[in-house]
Amino acid sequence: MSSEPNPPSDAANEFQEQENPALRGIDYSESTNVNQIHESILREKVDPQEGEEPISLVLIGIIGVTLLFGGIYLGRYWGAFDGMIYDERARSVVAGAATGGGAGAAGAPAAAEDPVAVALKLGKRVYTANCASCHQGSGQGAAGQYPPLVASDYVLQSERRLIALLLHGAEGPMTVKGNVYNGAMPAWEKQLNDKQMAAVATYIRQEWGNNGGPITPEQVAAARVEFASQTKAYNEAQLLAIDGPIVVK
Amino acid sequence: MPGDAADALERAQVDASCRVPVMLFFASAVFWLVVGTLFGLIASYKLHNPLFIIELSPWLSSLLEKFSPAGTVELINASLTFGRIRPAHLNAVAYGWAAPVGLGVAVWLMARLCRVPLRFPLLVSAAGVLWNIGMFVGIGVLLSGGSTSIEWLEFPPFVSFILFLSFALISIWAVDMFVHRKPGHVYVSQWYIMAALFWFPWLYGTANMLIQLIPAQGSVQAIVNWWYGHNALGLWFTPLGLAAAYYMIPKVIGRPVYSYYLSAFGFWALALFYSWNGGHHLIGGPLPAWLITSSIVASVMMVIPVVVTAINHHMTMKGNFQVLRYSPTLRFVVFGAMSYTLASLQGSSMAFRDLNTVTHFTHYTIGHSHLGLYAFYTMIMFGCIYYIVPRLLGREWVSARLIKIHFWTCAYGIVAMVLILSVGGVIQG
Amino acid sequence: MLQHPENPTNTFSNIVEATKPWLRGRTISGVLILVGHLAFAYHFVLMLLKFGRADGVGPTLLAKPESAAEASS
Repeated sequence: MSSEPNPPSDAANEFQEQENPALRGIDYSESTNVNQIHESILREKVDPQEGEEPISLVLIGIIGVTLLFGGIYLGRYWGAFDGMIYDERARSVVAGAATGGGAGAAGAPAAAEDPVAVALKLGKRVYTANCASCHQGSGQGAAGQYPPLVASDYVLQSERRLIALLLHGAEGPMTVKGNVYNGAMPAWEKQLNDKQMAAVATYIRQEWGNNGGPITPEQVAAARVEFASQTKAYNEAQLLAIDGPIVVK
Repeated sequence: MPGDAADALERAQVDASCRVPVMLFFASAVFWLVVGTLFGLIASYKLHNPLFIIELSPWLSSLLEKFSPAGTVELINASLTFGRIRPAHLNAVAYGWAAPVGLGVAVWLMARLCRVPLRFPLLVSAAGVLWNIGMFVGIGVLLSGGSTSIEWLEFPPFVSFILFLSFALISIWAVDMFVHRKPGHVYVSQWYIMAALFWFPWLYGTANMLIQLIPAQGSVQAIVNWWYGHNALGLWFTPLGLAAAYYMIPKVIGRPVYSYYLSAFGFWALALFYSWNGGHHLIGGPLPAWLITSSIVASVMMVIPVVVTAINHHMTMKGNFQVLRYSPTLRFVVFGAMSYTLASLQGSSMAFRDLNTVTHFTHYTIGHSHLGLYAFYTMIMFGCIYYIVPRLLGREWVSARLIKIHFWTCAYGIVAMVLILSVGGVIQG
Repeated sequence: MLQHPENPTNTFSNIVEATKPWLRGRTISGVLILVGHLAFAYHFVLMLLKFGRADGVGPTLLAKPESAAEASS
């Protein structure tokens, strides 16, 4: 403000007049000329003040746009603030998590929409209740009596044959993975509905390291019609007639 | 006011109280600046000519074998490998130059703005000596291969402790001046300095605690690392640089800062947004999406304080640009303030995922960091030194020509470096 | 750009080679900066050794200001 030229002479005179004790700590080495040693301090302009100019409307607009942009960006890639979501572009999972009502539930609703995952859960329940007593929880069966399901060609090859077997059962000697088994499997045609049967078939085709594809309730329904003429359990020859012999790999 | 004798006497007393510690900080900072620049130059040269020192070996050994013990040449070779010289460069310029010169400027500004002399200047000087002992030990450890290999925290924990202790001893007396300040308006530079003095120990302490002493596990460590790495720039060097710019620009041209509202707004926006920024170093890393996204948003939000500050500085300068022609202080400070705007806007743009996929891990990032810490911070500190030293020593700078050489080499050098690294970095990406 | 997916034949060593001219440029700019710093350090040491002017003719300025009233460092 007051940038009038400094008159160093007045101030300097005052310095010379007063023998000020406060100056004692100020040692500017050999120079004794008070006038010149304080030159840099005397010539200084005022200490900074702050003006009162208001913030311009344009600037407020810029700030608003920036904030708006930030909000949009955050909304788009927020990842539901979920510690498990690593891909900011995962819109569907984010949407699922959002409707699922919270961070922790992010995975579950997404899984609920996947029919195979549901089938696997239902299939496990059906298997434990009905099949595990013979084929065992491990799917390994029992030597000489109940054939294994793990890596079994009956399970993994023809889908139609597998459904037929489940519907009507089997009896008599059968060769599975080079071993002969002689037992009897009941028909499940009446106990299990299409959904349950498809689920258990899907389950045994994908559990224990098996890598078969899923089986749908529609396939089961079609098989009920197709194999309706079968009135008793299949034997090995009849089973092999469906979709041809087992291909040994 | 300026011509007022009592006022000038007060300033003289304030300056006298600061003289020893501030000059000590400045002198050691200048020393580390030169050393750090040499380190940087060697590191840079070795990137396109990796055999640099080794090729010199025969010549060196014939020179050295006469008067130095066996193995000296091998020792030098090992010390100057890229993996050691690069962290040595970073730490020498960051902790040897930038931090002490910032502390020196902060102590002086604080004393001037609070209008009270620094109490216990000898204690503060001792802390400065302690800091430099820490620096020598730390750089020695780095050159002998003892880096912790955590960027920005390469010094081993005991060196960090020395620096921390020294910092505490210095900042206490700066804060003490604020507590005993003469009544009156608290100027914007004081806010920034106070904030920086409290933010730095918080950052440095937390980062050392979570990385060195009780290390956080896995990717959390990376988050802490970059939270610190970016905040050391954003919440420590940036406020110091802005405090200096907010003081020097109006002081040299002798008119008030344009708007108090802009100053206040810029300060709080910086405080609010900067601390979130570190995560943008980890885009594409194995971290939850929300963390990265928030850091990107915060980086973009940094546009607000930057634009606000830039407008405030520009409007203050308006009509006084002719002063740049002759005032060395103003020329350096305004160069720095303009670089601040540039560096920050560039930084915000680099946070975007799309640009980041190209520039990440390239020389572009190096260009950006030099634009920030050098063209902005260091240039402002040069300006401050040109202003403060004549007042502390009671003598004027010897030669305008040397100042001109200093300004033009550094200005051309840094502009060229940033352009070269940016273009090269984009091509590399 | 060299790492763009549409550029799959670019080997890492190619990319490194391509950065070399730019790195040389950086070294040159680094030398400029070092010269500046040496000038500055020399000037600073002169001040410490009390070679600074104390003749009372005002601050060391880079050019002559229009009016004496403006003179400030």
